[in-house]
Amino acid sequence: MKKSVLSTAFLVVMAAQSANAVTLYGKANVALQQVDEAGDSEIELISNSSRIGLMGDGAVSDNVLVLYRFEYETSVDDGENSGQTLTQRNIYLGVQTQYGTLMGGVFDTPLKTAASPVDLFNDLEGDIRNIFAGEIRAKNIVQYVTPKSFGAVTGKIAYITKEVDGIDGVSASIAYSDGPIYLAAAMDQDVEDNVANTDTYRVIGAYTLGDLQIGGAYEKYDNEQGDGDGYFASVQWDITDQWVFKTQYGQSDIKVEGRESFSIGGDYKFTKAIKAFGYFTQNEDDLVRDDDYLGVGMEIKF
Amino acid sequence: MMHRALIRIALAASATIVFPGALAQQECEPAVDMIESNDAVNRISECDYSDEGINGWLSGLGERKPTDSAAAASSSASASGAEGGEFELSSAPVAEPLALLQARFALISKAAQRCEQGAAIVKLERYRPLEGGKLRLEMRFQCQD
Repeated sequence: MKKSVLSTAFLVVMAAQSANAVTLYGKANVALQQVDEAGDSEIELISNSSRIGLMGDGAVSDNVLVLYRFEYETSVDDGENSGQTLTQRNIYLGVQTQYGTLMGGVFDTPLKTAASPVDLFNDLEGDIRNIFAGEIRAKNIVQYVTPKSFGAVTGKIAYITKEVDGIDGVSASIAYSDGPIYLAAAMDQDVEDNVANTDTYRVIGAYTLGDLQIGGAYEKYDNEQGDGDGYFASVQWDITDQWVFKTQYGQSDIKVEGRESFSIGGDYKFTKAIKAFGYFTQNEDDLVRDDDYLGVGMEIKF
Repeated sequence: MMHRALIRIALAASATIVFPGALAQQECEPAVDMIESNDAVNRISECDYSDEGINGWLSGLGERKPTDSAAAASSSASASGAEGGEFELSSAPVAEPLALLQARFALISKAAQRCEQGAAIVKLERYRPLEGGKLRLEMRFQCQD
């Protein structure tokens, strides 16, 4: 069974290489961390969203491209996630013309992707999902993205059909990215599963000055049970070509009253694709969490 | 409480500083990062990783790679400006004469593939100076049936 899977995967890769504009990509990100969660200490080896994927495009005419992406998570630490060797991440098929891109599948909502430049501890314990709602990879999502001819502006609007409860969701974003400046605004409506009448609004900003990048975000969330808001700020300093310092802090009442997340850490880049990193993260709130994480890890991208 | 007040003040102050303009060149980062960017679908066709990393190794099975500079000269291709069937391709930054020639060949090859039913006509060819004496080659093509 395993052999046939491997053979199939190899054939897919080779077929991909023989076709036009296909890219095999991925990363392995593993960390060893000292965990102190509500007084219980332990050492963990963790895989931080390690993944492998295929992406590419094929021209069906001079002005029409078909785009695709198939991405799967693999657990480098213990080899399986809920009994699965590979679990689906972002998967889509789309058509791109000079008027924009229309795509469907399962992938991150516009609200989630709008914040990608400012979350410096993404996929680690300090991930922005600790304090903000809306970090959703939606199933059965159809999305329109404005074309590249819009220049610095990228607009997205997505429709998510839940297929079960009749409450479909909408997610939208507009972003401006020009040189050192990144600004975005995004909203979700009824995107979450099993929660009715939810609205999420988020604004994001980032500025890069040479070796220094600062970023921030604000989010407001409400549903039938109540509402909350929160903010988030991050700073990254590329001290040298190899050494990077970064820190971020966020606070919100969206998920739990008084939730705070603070992270500080650094990277050492061996090459463009390989780095070692270290971090300290503290996540705590008024009700549930009082957790510290101290870790070191390695990442290779391909 | 880890001096949170101090941290908040420091981050808030950093976030309000207004800096003079600076250039953050948007280049083709590693594929796994590019595809996570907010405008990824508009960049899938922009960045060509066929000569990089595992893709370069797979595509080069049984072939001898010319030089490291050739790999560095691998092009990025933009599908922008499809008006009138025209499209524009641009190379990664190159620093050596040979790499520039190889980047030009890579762009022309990519254009020819896109115009597989006919021929690719060069409509524009320009060389953009970058930091460190590097150049970026930008070419605009039109498919001729």
